[in-house]
Amino acid sequence: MEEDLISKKELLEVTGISYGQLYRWKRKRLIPEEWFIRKSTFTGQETFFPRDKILARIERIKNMKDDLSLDELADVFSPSPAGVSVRWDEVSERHIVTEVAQRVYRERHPEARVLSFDELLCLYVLDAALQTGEVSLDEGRMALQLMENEYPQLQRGAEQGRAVELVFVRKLGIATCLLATLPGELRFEQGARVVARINIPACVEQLKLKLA
Amino acid sequence: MEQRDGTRNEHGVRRDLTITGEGSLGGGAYGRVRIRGEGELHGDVDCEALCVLGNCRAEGRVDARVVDVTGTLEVAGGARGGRVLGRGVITVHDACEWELVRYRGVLTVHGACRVDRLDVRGELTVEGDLTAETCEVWGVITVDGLVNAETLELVLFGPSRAGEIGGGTVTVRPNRVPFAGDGELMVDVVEGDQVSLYRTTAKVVRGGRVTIGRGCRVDVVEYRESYEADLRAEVGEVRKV
Repeated sequence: MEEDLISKKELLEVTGISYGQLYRWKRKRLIPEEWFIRKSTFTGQETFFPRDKILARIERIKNMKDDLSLDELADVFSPSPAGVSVRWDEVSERHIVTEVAQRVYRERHPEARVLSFDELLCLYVLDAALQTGEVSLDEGRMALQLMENEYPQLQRGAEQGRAVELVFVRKLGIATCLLATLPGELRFEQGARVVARINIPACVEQLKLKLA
Repeated sequence: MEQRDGTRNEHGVRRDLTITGEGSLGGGAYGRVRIRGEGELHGDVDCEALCVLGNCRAEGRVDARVVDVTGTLEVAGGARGGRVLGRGVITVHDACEWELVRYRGVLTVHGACRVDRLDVRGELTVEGDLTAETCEVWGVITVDGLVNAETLELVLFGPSRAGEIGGGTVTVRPNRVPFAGDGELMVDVVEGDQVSLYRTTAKVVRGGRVTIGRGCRVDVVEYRESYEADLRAEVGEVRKV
């Protein structure tokens, strides 16, 4: 899959930021390491970025940087959880997730009263999956279990700027789901169909904004 | 080896420990660890302060609020913490993260190095990327990856090398020390808002305000606001973008 790339020079021209800003944001981990793609061109080594992702990210940084300090911004974009916890009744009051997702979560954790960021993330990912409309409740339960058991192990990688994705696969009515660390390639056999893909860092970001 | 109770914190008492002469200690949490002579740290050490006068070898990580070295310190794992002070030789065989480094001597990191404020006089070697808010080096710098700093000031005393340099203000300047000799810097790409170079060989220099000083050899310069070059600099192509 060849992604649409933008060179650093073009990026600075289009967005009107300076080299100093770009490097500052990289230093503060507002822009993940993996987006800096090095390629040799006829003028020597040049750096490229995935066009859509970087343009969207820079737009958001520019919009938010007047209200938040760079360190606060880094918190918004970083995959490592901010030290927050939310009471269960707040989850429903503030409409953080839909009621369906709440019910599924309740089945598994009837006792839960306060959710840490990680637990909330599992719930949020479950909700995101259900909201795609492609994922059934049973598959949602499976995904929730997977997230709770396996995501903590992958998180270390996530902190180093690697994204994690939750992938739902179905074949002949049998469903399964898996967590993949990006960048990486997944290939499926013919009969299998990818039903939904949920990007976890995107969920983390949305969730943080909802909590803020 | 003497031990006494030291700093109290939420985890209970952290013992202070002093090695005089020769000795070793196991991994764990400590208060102040003082080594006068020869010391070995087995396992990961987490301490308030590690003060070395002499030689010290750590087999694991060293996480310390303060590292003060006069002599040598070799760390097999990574290191993280507050301040690194002193003079001598520090070698770390993995990634490092510190708030402040003010060091005279030789500092080598085999991995990425992330520091808030870095001030080294002597020799700085990083096998990986060097990230700092302010980075001031008097001496020789060898960085395999990217040097990313808000302000980078490099005073050349010998042959230096970096993969790439990027940041806000990049200044490379000569030392004014009599008889110290002159240095030079080899780098692929320099990018910054304000770039001022001296005796630097680079393929590409891109920036807002660019000053190319004496003894530079640059293939391509791309600038946005202003450009100046010394008569004794060799510059290939100059483009305003």
